[in-house]
Amino acid sequence: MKMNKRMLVVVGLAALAGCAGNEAVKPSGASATASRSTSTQASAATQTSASGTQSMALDSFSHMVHFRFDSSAISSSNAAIIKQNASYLEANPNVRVRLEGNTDERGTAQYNMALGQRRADAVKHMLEVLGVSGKQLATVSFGKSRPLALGHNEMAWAKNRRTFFNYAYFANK
Amino acid sequence: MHRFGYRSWAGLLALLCAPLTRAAVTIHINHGYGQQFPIAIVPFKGEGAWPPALQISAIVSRDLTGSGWFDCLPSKDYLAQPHHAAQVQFNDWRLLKATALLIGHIQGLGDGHLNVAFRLFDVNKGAQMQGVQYIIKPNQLRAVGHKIADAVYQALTGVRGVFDTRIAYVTMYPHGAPGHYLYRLVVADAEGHHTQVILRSHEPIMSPRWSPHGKRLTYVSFETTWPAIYVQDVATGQRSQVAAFHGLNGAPSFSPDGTHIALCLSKTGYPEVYVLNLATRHLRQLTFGPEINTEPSWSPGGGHIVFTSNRSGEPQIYEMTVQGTDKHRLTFDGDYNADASFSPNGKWLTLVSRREGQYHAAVFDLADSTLEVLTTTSLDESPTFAPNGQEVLYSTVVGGHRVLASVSLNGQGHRILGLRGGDISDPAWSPFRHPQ
Repeated sequence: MKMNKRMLVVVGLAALAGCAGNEAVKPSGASATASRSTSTQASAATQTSASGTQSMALDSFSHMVHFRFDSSAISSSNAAIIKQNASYLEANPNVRVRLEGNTDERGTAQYNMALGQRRADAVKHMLEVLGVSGKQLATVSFGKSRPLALGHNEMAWAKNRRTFFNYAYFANK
Repeated sequence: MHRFGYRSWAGLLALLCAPLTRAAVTIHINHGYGQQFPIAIVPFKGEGAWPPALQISAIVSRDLTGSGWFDCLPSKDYLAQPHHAAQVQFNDWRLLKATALLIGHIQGLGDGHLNVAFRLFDVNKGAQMQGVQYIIKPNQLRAVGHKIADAVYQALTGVRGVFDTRIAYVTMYPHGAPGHYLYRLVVADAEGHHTQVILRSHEPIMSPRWSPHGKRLTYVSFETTWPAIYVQDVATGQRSQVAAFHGLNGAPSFSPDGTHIALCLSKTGYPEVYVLNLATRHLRQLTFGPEINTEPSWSPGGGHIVFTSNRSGEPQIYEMTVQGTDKHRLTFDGDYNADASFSPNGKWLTLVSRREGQYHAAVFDLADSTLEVLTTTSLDESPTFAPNGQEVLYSTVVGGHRVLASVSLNGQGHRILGLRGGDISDPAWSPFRHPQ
């Protein structure tokens, strides 16, 4: 449960930054938002990330990447986030993460399930290319069934087209 | 004549949600019968003792109006209120231009049962078309109302009514942190009443489909935190998990004989269509390739399966035999056509078609390969034919919420189902329970 709360902060940051750019969350965007946040935990974590990745804390980098409409392509800002997660996973080979692909609400439920799976698989593929062991990675698609933002507009859709690095999933098992 | 119905629907929607596409969509679906039957429905004798929702004449009027085929004449214009055949003066009803007249009564039998009787008359001929009486318990009043509506519908249109059939759908209500919901799989009568919760979960539930005769449902549930496919008996609640492979387990669809389901699995690394024998659990792969192949749906004859594939670069509808041979593309109109299912007579498909970025429920005519958009709403999904093929039920967004709506294929009837429980999606209309 404690883990979940911390994750939530990150989710919130990613969602906020996502609405500004409609693409992947930039680490700088996340820290700017964090300084406004009331959570001391998040502010402290952001400082750690600025100083480098030597002993990365789990909450010092984004756990979310976003996608363009109908696409599972990794943008350059996505790649930066995936690299941070890769560094963490390589430094902590016992940690497993579930990569959860999601889509916006447009289109059909089951076609979106396949699209969400592609978004999870694309992130898994890049992590493996970066040297992370496949044993640390699992993928799942929720399609359009778990929107983060509830609106029926482009701002909400941009937040919902995402792959989430769910570290709590295996940590809580 | 269709245009009139279309405009009044657009007017209703406009009240509920502001930004709507202005472009006129002409509905051509119907094949020569745009007319409605003017019918007089006299309040049944004795029904006043029951609340309005259980009054037979109100239930029948609502069903018939919603079907798009009937113009129920307002009872304030009636010159008389007959309840028995001997009281009927046909000239009274000819003056009102009614083509049919429905009368009846409800009587308590003293032992807790009710006697409900109706007579349907052809006003022009001055003759009775049908007369039936039912002995029921008071909790069956609504069901009898739907049965009477079915009888009237069939007597006048020649097509079987669907007011006594059921729908399944999924509700989703925010619960806890963003991205977390309470999901329910619900079965209700075709009007959205008499709801029965089949499954309740904090993990997603998706894509219910009915078995032949509406005895069982197959659906996707994430209750184990991974997607799996289940088959559940609706009456007993007994169920089994039939697919939980690595990767996607989605889009289940019963064969017309109920012995197999077609489904989408990605255990090879790519989403592919398979057929699963429910008795032996034998699995047969029907599509092969790195693209997306999903949303299989069986033809009523059982020989073919349609599915969605993006092998051309965008989702389009393809057809193949149940052996996986003779794959060919069906839809070429538009850059996104998905989630097709057959009409009960096998002549049409209903599917989601994107036009200028808007997602519409549509009907594809297999004989001449034409695609007709049915709606002006923009976020439609999961269109499903009524078991008599006269109506399409789908999920869409109206007034900021996902709701179920239906459109009659003669272009005259449109309705939004008043369902509760949050955002409503994934409707599936049951087949008829009994063969006729």
